[in-house]
Amino acid sequence: MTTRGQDIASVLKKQIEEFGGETTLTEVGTVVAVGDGIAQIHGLSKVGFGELLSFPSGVSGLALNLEEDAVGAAIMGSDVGVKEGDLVKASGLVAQVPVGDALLGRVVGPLGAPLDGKGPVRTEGQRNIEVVAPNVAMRQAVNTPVQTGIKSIDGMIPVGRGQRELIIGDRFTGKTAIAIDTIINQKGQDLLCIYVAIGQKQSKVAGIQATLEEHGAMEHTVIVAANASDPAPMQYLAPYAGCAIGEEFMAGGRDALIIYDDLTKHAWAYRQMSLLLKRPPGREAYPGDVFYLHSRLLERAARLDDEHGGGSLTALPIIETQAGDVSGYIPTNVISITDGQIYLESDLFNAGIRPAVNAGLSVSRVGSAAQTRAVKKVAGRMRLELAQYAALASFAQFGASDLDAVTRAQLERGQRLTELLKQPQYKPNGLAQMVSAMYAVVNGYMDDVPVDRVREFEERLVGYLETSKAEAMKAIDETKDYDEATETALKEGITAFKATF
Amino acid sequence: MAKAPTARRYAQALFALADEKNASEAWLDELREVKMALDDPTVALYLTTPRVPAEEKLAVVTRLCEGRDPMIRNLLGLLASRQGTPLLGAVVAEYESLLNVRLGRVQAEVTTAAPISAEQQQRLRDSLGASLQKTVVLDPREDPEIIGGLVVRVGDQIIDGSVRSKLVALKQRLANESLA
Repeated sequence: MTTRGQDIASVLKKQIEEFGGETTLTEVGTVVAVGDGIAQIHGLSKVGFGELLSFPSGVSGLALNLEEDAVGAAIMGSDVGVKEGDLVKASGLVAQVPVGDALLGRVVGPLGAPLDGKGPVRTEGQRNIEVVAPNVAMRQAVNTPVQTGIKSIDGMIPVGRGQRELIIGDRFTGKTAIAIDTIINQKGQDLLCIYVAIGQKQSKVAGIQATLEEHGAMEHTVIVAANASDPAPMQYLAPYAGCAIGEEFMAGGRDALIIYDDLTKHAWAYRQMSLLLKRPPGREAYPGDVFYLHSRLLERAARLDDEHGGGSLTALPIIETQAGDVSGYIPTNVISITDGQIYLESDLFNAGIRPAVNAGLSVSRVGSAAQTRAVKKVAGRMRLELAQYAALASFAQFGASDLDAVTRAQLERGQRLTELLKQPQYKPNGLAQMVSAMYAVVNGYMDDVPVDRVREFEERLVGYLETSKAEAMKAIDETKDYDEATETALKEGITAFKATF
Repeated sequence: MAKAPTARRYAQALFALADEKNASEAWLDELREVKMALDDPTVALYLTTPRVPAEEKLAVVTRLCEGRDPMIRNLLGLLASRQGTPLLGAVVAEYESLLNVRLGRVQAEVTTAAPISAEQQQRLRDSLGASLQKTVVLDPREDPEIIGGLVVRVGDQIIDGSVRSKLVALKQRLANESLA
């Protein structure tokens, strides 16, 4: 205790010695009106766009509307203590967020304030929340996969490091679940994760934190949260802040993954701010720059070339649709910005196909360049077979007895594939698990397994292979590919297992 | 805040007129006096209420401005006929700032905890003038709440050397700074 007491005393001594310091010229203005989290300020004639302001009550503001005589500012915090006549000071700074490894495992607000009760966040650096995205010359093509651990995604809609892949679907279709599973699957890997919660219930964010902790995935994860009870400016800033945290990892040559959950609420928050700032409303009352709002955010996802460290930032934005309508304003905007989308459907979800990925409407524009060779080998035919199955399935409703053998075989294969792609939550697959299961089904080893026992077969097969063919499995995990020897071992293992099933 | 731009237009027009007649400084004094008269709540109410016909207001304003420059009288008349007399305060302020810009003069609002002597004022005026490259007109105020030191406000800029703000800053630093 004495050491700590001395520490405190010495810090106090230093601070008291430095008391006073310099007096500087500060730009000031006076609050003329305040309400709904927006303050109109007279003066501040030399303030810059996006500059941070400080109010006497201690809250800060963001200068967003610069007019001839007045400045419209969004108050980042409670507007209760802000009164007419208050002196507002310009800081000369733009909004910044603390960045660095100290954030891993933490839950912070959009300005870096800790929300998890684990004490102050001791970071080394700060980064501007709004920056221009890396330019063409600094980037390289996306060529390394993000292993989500979800068979239907890694197999059919591969996501590459540096890509922007949208997760879109109605409420309660498992959008967040995909994101969380992806984070959990990075345990022990080299991909750092940032989960940005925008306008969500605090209970949901707490639940996600608990889930991640339970699966040991908080160690490589930062949660940036602006909850439903936070003012709109905070919700507006949260994704940019999360992005800045990710950019720090990217600049350090590392790979990071950021999830924006969700950008629909982000657009709502921005719409609220814009309307209160008296900017003219456009379609669906969104302001004219709502496209730029998301495009400048998602452009910051990148894969840097080796000259710039070779780091990457992968973005998984989430959009919630209403009754499956993807033609809404915000969904179409974000679809057009991203490099593909994972489309989730309530019908599939309710039919028990979870994750409820619609294989036909989901695409990844980066494609197989971002797939490991092992997955590419087994999954190449999967998408085609599933598409054929989907086309045939509608015929099959009228009775499968009259169909020819080839068609029937295709239907059988499709049913088993669909069954294989079902995956419980919080159970992402490792690469070898995924590859061996897919190998078995694509090469017909499961054709004589009853459809309702496919998942049981898969589970037990993987368990068997992991014990009896551990070397082959390890080889797949390490080389991310399989050679002939490994393939033979796989075949042997599967045949041996089938004899016992 | 549509008030400020309107007042500015009036002030610019008046200032241009004053310039032509080389009477800008004299008019400022006259404007101030008129404004003082109009600041009286009864007069202000009388001039804004729609129950008084415009001609009557015009007559009152003309009488009020007796002996003043005809242009000042005209300005008042114009404002009165447009329900614009509440703008006068802003017009005078804008006029004054235009005049200050013309004369290379700035107004500095100096707040201290205790009254400052003429010699201190002179030193302050000199040093401020040197740093701003302008003639400084001091507008001293007293506010014991700042505890000590002084706060100078020039337009939208403030130099805060008060003990109060330093204490606030110290308090914040002690609360925020980690003990690592």
